Amino acid sequence: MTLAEMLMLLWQRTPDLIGGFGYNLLIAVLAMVLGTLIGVGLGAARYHRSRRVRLPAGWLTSLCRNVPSFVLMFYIAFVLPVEVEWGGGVVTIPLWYKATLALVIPVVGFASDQGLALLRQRAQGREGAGATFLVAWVQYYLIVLMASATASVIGADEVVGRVNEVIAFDSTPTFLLLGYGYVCLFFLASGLLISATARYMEAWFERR
Amino acid sequence: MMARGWLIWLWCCLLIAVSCDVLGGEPRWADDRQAKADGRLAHAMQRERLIVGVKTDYPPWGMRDRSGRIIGLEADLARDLGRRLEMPVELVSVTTSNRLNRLSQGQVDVVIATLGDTAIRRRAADLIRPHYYASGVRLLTPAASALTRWEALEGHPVCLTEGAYFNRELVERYGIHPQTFPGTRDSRLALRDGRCVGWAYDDSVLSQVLDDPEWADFRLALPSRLDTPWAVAVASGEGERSLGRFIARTVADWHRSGWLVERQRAWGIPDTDFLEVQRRRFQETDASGELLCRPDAGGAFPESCLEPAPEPLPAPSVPAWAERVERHTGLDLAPLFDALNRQRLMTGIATTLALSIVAILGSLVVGVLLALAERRGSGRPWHWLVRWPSRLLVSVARMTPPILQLYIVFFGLGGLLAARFGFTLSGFLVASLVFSVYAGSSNAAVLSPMLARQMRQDPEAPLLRQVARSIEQGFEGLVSIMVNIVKAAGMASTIAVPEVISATHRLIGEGGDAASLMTLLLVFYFCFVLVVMALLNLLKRWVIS
Repeated sequence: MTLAEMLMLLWQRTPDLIGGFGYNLLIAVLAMVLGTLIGVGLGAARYHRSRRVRLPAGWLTSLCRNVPSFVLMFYIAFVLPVEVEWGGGVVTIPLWYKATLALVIPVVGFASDQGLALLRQRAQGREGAGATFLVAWVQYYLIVLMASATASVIGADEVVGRVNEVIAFDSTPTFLLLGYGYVCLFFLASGLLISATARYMEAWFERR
Repeated sequence: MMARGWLIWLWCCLLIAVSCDVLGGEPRWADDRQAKADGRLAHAMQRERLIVGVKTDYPPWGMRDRSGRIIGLEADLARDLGRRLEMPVELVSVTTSNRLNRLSQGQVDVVIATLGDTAIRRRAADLIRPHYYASGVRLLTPAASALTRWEALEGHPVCLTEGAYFNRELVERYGIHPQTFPGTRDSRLALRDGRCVGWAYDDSVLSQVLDDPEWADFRLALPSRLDTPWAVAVASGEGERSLGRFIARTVADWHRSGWLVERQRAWGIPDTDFLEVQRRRFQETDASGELLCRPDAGGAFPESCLEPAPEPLPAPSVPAWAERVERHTGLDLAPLFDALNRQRLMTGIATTLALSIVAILGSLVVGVLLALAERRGSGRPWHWLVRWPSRLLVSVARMTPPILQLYIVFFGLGGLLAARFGFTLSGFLVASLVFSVYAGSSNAAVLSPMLARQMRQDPEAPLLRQVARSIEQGFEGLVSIMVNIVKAAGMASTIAVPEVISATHRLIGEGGDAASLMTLLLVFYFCFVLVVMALLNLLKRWVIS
């Protein structure tokens, strides 16, 4: 393929790739929301007066903190069922659900630590504890979004998997570079947007 | 006008008559007397879709066309199977290394993906006989090579492609020094760059490579070895059920009708003896005109109509304590009692350790350099020349997924370097570099403000002391970044670095129990990260005191 043909092919498949990137954004948002809900609960349990509540919550947090999401991704893909029978039919569990589940775990660890810090700072009567939490949360979203790209290794439908399909058509190094570089731009653009948001929030909280 | 209309009619009638005649003998699910689907076939019927795993990196057996659709000889086979089962077919792309895993996970119903029938694979799946194709391993070498015997390869570097069935046997039987690459493209490049004496791979592929005029200086040196028939695979236990039986009869019909030979020619693959032998075998009739090779009441073909199945491997002897572990916890440790497997896992763990150490040190160095680029010489006119490129690097490294960075450097830049300058980047080197820069950018973000403060407070101090103090003050932040990089290091498995995740996958692909091995991997990582954290905390105490 000539360079022009390569660019043309990428342009033709752009709507498809953007659709795939939508899944990355969705996976990351869902993982953050679910993980935060569970994690803040754990953090609160670690702040509890009773040792019996504090200890297990601490263990669970360290479990979530210490296992890599990349390994969890495979673990969940292997161990959870692929399809379930539902109302006489067969329902396939989409692989991106599993990828989301794998990413929830590290978010739980993160939110538990941040939640605990938040409660401690509140108790000390320190100002701006909520603001610190929110800014850290937005920055962590960026990390989870980057990690969502690994969902392609278990075959989940997202942007890296989709660009791999396009690249399979002509796997010369030049086309590889173009294809992966193009998808990197998606991540870079949303990364810049997210860190700008974090900075804006920080400035806004400081002004108040 | 009239005459032409008649002619078209006549052709249509003829076509229908011919196809009735040909199709009359073809197994179709609806015609089947015992059309009672069980197991996986019943499941697929309930889903109203047959999911078949085929290759997309093995033209002309499996590849993608411009629109991304999967085409090729094996895609044709899969679609024909679906047509006979009267079900739509969904084709899913699988690779040599994940095809049997996808099958045992239940993500696909059937695998038709250039799968050679070997004893190890029979542990992981049911391989259907009759076989539909066959190939052996040959060695592609420079034309000037003096090699004549496989035995002469002992101790020499030989390029291999990850996941091929003969790799293990070539290492064990001929004592080659393996140089394993993730895909055929990389093996090809490695051979051209002289990184090995030859590329040992499937003869069906190697002969197609030689057709390319660019490879005029190469030849197939050694006789074909380890000739292996290719089989359609279904999940363990399904071979004896309706899905396996139906596929067996369908493959026999592909041979008998000559359709397989016809498809082979249509895709431009040279004729092979194997297909010719099969065609004749399945067409043979006895004196009364009955087919000799037909399934018995239970659905099995007579052994004389089939290529021999590989001898089953002896089960590895498992010590009593491991059996007790299995009884109590359900963890099946059998794969760990095979010498080669143990060696692979040990290499995997050692590689993971080495990669983690290199990435931690590398990220520290990169972090210090980037922080210095940001802070040193500020105010001088040339400073932006250093600062802007380093800021760009930090942004790009932090805001693009590390897995894409690995792909870009390894396959993209690595490929260009090999094509232009003839040297290949090792996966380990690429992974160390990418992780160092990725984590280094985060380290720089921690170190940079510390360094600025040091420079303000003590501008006369030597640079080395300023850097050391900044590291000391920012150590807490650095530790969490380093722990993260240790957790991310497993991603190197995607560029064929033989670390512990790759090793585990290989064991699962050879029939090891997936749930047990994945649980062990998870436990390993949990402990590993705990130890790393404990060591870094010790270091922290030492640094701060």
